[in-house]
Amino acid sequence: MNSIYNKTEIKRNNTKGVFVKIFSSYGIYIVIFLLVLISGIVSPKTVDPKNLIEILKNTSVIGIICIGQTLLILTRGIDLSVGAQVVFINILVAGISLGDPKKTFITILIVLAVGAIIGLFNGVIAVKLKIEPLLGSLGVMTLLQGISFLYTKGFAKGSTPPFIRAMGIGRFFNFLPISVVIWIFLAIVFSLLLSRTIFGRYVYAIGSNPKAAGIAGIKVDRTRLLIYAVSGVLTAIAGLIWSGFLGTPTLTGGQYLPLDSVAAVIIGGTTFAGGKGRIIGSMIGAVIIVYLSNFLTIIGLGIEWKIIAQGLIILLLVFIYVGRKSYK
Amino acid sequence: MKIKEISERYRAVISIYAFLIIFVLIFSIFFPVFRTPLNISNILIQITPLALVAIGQTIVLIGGGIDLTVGVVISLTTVITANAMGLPFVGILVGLILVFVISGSIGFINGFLCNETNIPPIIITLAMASIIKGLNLLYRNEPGGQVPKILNKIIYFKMGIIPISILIVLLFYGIFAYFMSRSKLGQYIYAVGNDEKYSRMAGINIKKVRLSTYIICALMAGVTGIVLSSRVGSGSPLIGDNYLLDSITAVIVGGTGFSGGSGFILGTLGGATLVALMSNALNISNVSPFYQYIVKGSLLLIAMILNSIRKK
Repeated sequence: MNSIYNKTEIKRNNTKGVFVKIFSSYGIYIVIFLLVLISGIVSPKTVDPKNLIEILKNTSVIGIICIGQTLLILTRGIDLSVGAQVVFINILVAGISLGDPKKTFITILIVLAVGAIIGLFNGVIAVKLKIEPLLGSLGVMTLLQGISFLYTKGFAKGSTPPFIRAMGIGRFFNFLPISVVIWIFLAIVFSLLLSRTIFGRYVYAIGSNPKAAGIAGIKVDRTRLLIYAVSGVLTAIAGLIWSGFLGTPTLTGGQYLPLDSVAAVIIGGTTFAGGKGRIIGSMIGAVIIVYLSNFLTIIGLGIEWKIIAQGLIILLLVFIYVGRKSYK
Repeated sequence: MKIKEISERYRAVISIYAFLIIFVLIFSIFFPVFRTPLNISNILIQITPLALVAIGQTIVLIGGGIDLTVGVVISLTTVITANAMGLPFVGILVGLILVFVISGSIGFINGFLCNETNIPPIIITLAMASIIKGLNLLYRNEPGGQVPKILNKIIYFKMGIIPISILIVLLFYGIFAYFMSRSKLGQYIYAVGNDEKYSRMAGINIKKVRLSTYIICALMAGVTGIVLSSRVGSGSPLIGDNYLLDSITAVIVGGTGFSGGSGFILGTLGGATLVALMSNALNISNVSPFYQYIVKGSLLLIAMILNSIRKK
């Protein structure tokens, strides 16, 4: 009986239109191309090189977060506490260093370690305690918000030391933002890790079938914990850049980061079922999300339009990726 | 034997209520303010919106889905109520009809997309929440409007120390507990949440069942919005945001699993009561309000850890 279902399923896939086939593998590129084209026609200001660099600069924080988020979603995890983490890191940077350049190095070390610990904490909840990672990380998000408030008692003190400030607002040759260089460097490193190393193969294996991966001898739990820790460190790096952008600690902001990062990853073609997706897709997804809000702001439409458009793009693209349900 | 069976089956529900009783006892002993009539009726009023919205979330979770639009639907309905009910004479009626039509159609769209596409429910409702929130902010960017005073009086009407709103809550819980355990559709919801494939083979129209869970959930979010706007007296486009996480916490604390097919409506009532009690107790015991976040986060995590242990 089962084989009959399988046959019809295969037949259905074969009769997929050429358009759908092309779109489901290159959809994200088509979307960004159309977006740039339309925005260039509607308002040439958007495609001005200066503005494009600005867009990339604004993408760097969410872009770095998306690298970790991609690794997590690839292995059937997710982290919604990234926004609260970034806010907490920013507060820590200011609180530990108090703006003193001498303490820069130790601050960065502590912050990266904190990122790894938060990531591991999320990992233990999801991997060892087997809690739905979506809800577990929501719980962690709430905890982190509370810890940020308690640490500052409501009034954040201190400021960002100059070196970390430069990570956010500094530019090479007065042109290329340092944050963008860090982001693209990390994206390339992790793309290569995924496509060229055994670690990458493990990630895809665990994502497509954790049980089979375990039987094949991959240490599934340990790899997943490692990914959570790495993702925590990446979020901490994003937090450092965020701290560089702002220069002062704030308890607000960051509330859009969890959903924006997940949105970027899923419109980039990484599936929730795990095992399928690439870093480059997520990076373009992140650019699309920032580009969209920049474009809408330039033509005078507010954040409301951005979140509407984002919702529609998610529904449309993911629908094209996964298709209709068949009840045969 | 019979008692053992019952206690086995309802262990999650029994343990949440046992915990509630211990919690209430401890707080009434150590904090006299906690047991004053005024505070008790305050708690009963505070429970109302969360308890109402958690009913819908429970049903969707039992059916194997999840609804992340409840928060924005609550906000949207407070805005609709506050604007439409301003009309003279027919205002309240028009407001109610609008709320139910709009929230019902949002539930329909959620359910329809879950039925027809392979997109996971969590992404569908996430995207829908984004769209609805944007539309709502376009419609009204800040709190405003006016809900007829009569509704406010009804919500705050008390018989002794018992506010009428808690009776509304109990009525809804009675209806839905009966619906889930005795009606055909209720049993189908459990079946579909448990195993979609076998339910379909058994001849259950799973599309209809799933659609109905999302519609019920959205309608309950609409009811919550009406109650909330009546309490506050106006509408606000962001008022519902907190209720999303709180409703999921209440449902999970109440013993409903995340993977579908298990859970009890009455457990959720206990969960919602616990979440509301925690906030109240923290306020009364003069703890820094910042601890609220930590307590809420820990509550969610502990409940889920207990759930996953129970499953083993």
